[in-house]
Amino acid sequence: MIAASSAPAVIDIQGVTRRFGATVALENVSLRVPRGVVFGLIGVNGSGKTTLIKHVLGLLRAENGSVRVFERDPVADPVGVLSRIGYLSEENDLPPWMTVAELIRYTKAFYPGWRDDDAEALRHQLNLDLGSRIDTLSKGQKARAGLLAALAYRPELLVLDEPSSGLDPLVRRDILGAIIRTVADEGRTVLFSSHLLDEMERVVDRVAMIDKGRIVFTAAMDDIQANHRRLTLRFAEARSHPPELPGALSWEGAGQEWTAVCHGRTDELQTAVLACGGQIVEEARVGLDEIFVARMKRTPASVEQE
Amino acid sequence: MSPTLALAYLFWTQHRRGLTLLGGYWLVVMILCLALPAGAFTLPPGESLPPVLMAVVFPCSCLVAAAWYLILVFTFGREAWLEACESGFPARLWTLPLPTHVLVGWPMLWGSAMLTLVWLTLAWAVRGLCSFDVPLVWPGLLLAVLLAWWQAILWTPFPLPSLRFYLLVPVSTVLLCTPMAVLAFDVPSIAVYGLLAILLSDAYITALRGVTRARCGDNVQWTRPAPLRWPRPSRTHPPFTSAARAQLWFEWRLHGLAFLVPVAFCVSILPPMMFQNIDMAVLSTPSLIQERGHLWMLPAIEMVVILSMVWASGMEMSKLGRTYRLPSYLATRPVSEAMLLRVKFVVAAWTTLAGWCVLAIGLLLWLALGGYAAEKMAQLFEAMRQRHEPGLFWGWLIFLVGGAVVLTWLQMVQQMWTGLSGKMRVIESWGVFSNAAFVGQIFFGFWLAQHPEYWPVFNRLLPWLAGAAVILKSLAAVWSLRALRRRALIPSGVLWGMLALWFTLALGAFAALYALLPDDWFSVPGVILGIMLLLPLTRLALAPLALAWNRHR
Repeated sequence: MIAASSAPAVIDIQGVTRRFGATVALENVSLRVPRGVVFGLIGVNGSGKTTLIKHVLGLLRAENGSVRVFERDPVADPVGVLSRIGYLSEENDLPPWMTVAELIRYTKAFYPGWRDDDAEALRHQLNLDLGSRIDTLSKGQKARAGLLAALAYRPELLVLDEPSSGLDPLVRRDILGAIIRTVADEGRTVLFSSHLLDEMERVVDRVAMIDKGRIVFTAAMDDIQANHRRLTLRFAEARSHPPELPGALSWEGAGQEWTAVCHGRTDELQTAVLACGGQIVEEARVGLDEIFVARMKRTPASVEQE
Repeated sequence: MSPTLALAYLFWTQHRRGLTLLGGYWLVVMILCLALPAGAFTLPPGESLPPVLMAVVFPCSCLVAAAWYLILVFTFGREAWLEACESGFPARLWTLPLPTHVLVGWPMLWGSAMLTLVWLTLAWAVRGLCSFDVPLVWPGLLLAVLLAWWQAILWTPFPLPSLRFYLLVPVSTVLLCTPMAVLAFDVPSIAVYGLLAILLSDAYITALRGVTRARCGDNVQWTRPAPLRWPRPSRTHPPFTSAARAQLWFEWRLHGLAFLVPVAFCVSILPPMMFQNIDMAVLSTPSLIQERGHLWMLPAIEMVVILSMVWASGMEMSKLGRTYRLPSYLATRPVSEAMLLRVKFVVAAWTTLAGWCVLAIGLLLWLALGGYAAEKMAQLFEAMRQRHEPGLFWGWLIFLVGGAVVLTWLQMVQQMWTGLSGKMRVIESWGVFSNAAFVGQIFFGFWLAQHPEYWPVFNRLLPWLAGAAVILKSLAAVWSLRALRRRALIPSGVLWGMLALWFTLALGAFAALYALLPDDWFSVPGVILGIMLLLPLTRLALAPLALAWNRHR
């Protein structure tokens, strides 16, 4: 599935397949990330998010297909691509023997666009002590140090791979959200993978769901919120199985009352419910986590049909 | 499965490939030893020197690789961080429902048993080859004690960073000097066993206490007293002028001292080697060994070469063998592979020069203090100076010293490709292959020395063998250089520069040998073949390919 956009894409991935031995980590993945958006990548553990991000960074070579970042191949031209990317990894493998001051001094040398005042402001905001060694920092502080190193040169593309791990909820909500919004508001692009979908829902513009190495769904966040509903239906008679309702992603319930997470416009859904003999007794918005769970429960066959 | 067997299974599953390779390698060593004729290491009175060296070098070369690997395995060295204060014992094992003495005792017991077994088999295999009694038990126990103390030091939490690293050096020095002391002072066996038993039990108690403390989080951290706190350099240092400078600083901080400290360690173990005045009757060659006491320096120099190989394969002392994968933080720096590699080569040059300076200072210092070997060294130096013309003498001296420095650097950079590949299987396989090739060459040398009837055939075949090796090497070099060009990993200018440097070194060596060798010794094809075989090119070209393979998997 390709995000429809004619604007030049910051990231353009076409038909990428990657295997590790017998395991297929990515299978024919195509994805476009337009400039100036916060793009969320969602998937269960082992679904291929980190593999996809590593292809974007050039840390993995595409076996099939092509990866272009800023219209360049990140493997063939690592300098041209990486000088425009800020990356915070899930592993957060900053050199443990460095102090925060040394980390800043070392990282700064690689980026002509580094701004000392921005870095200092960010350091204060993140409450990092210059003299602290990385290996003595807590997990949260290490993530903050990584964030500082990734953000201080104002990269055109910020890639965050599970950045929330180790950060406490207050820091996640206030700092990460603010930074991501700031970056996006300035026309910069963010590629963001996370398990914390409520957090992602607050900040992303577009979402791609990845499952078993395949992109199963991608859409703008506004469209997702507008076109997904949780409907509670009542039937005149008890049913042993849920009805065939176009747009229903998942079902729960028994007897006369069934609840579905549905995809589609409200009027179309209402017509479809009436057609199958039911009545909508409750309608509610659904969060991204519920949509994600509903879509992940679907069989590959139903995804293909859609 | 009992918990102790489960722990053994843990070691096996984690190091299955390496242990299997080691087992195969050891089998080959045993077969080679058994294939050698009885008394191969025997030195008839007044005979030439090589068999003495072989008697030391051959078993030591076999032993060092095996012992080092087993120490790495049974100390959990692949996971330990020498610089850190925290215990190097894997914290994941602390949650097992096992008492600490089991967690500590069994790995110590298995490791000790393996090392003792390695020595026993080697001693059994070589004792028929030597004219002296090879001690069967105590060297094996000494290896076990060495392992136990490494385990104790690696597993104990320390109150200051890097303290563990600096404690390992003197402890290892003392333990490795024990054989010299035993030989020098003719210590009775019972005393040796008693001392080793005490050292072993002390190591166990130390390790047990350390892991017990670490298991309950009782890690004392000392803060440096105010007078010892030097100002944070990063606050006052100016920014790096370029990415290359920053990377140079990074590499030096990470790898620079990793060569220097072990070299200093080698220099520190020279005194007991050089200044002993042992009655070498046990080796049945008292006069020769005593007269050539200065030859004990050769192992020290050999150690420098071995350490340069270890350093180059990325097994830096500061982190043992944790991982060879390029960390993502480093892999995502916006620099080319060529730049990363150039910086590594420069750091290798710096650390080579610094290492040789330390070695030279150490040697001069110990020679100045005098002693039997120092006296003999001075006599040899004087004799050589008087025997040759001044120009020739100093020319040879400069050529040998300069050549040794250049070869150390080449040794470092040519071995780098294995570590840069980031693949453990490449590193282990190459390590086993190199060691086996070395042992095989020595074995072949022995065989040839024992069969003079084959010398004429060998002499006739030698140029063809060397020629074939040069052709193979050239083909491999062409393949590597073409791959480099095709992938554009190195700018064409740098590539041509690399080739120009190679030809300059080759021409320099040729010119020096032409000037220094007597006419009847100098053979143009022989020297050219020798230089082409000695100077690395393929492995230098493989380094950027390996780094790219590691960075873009």
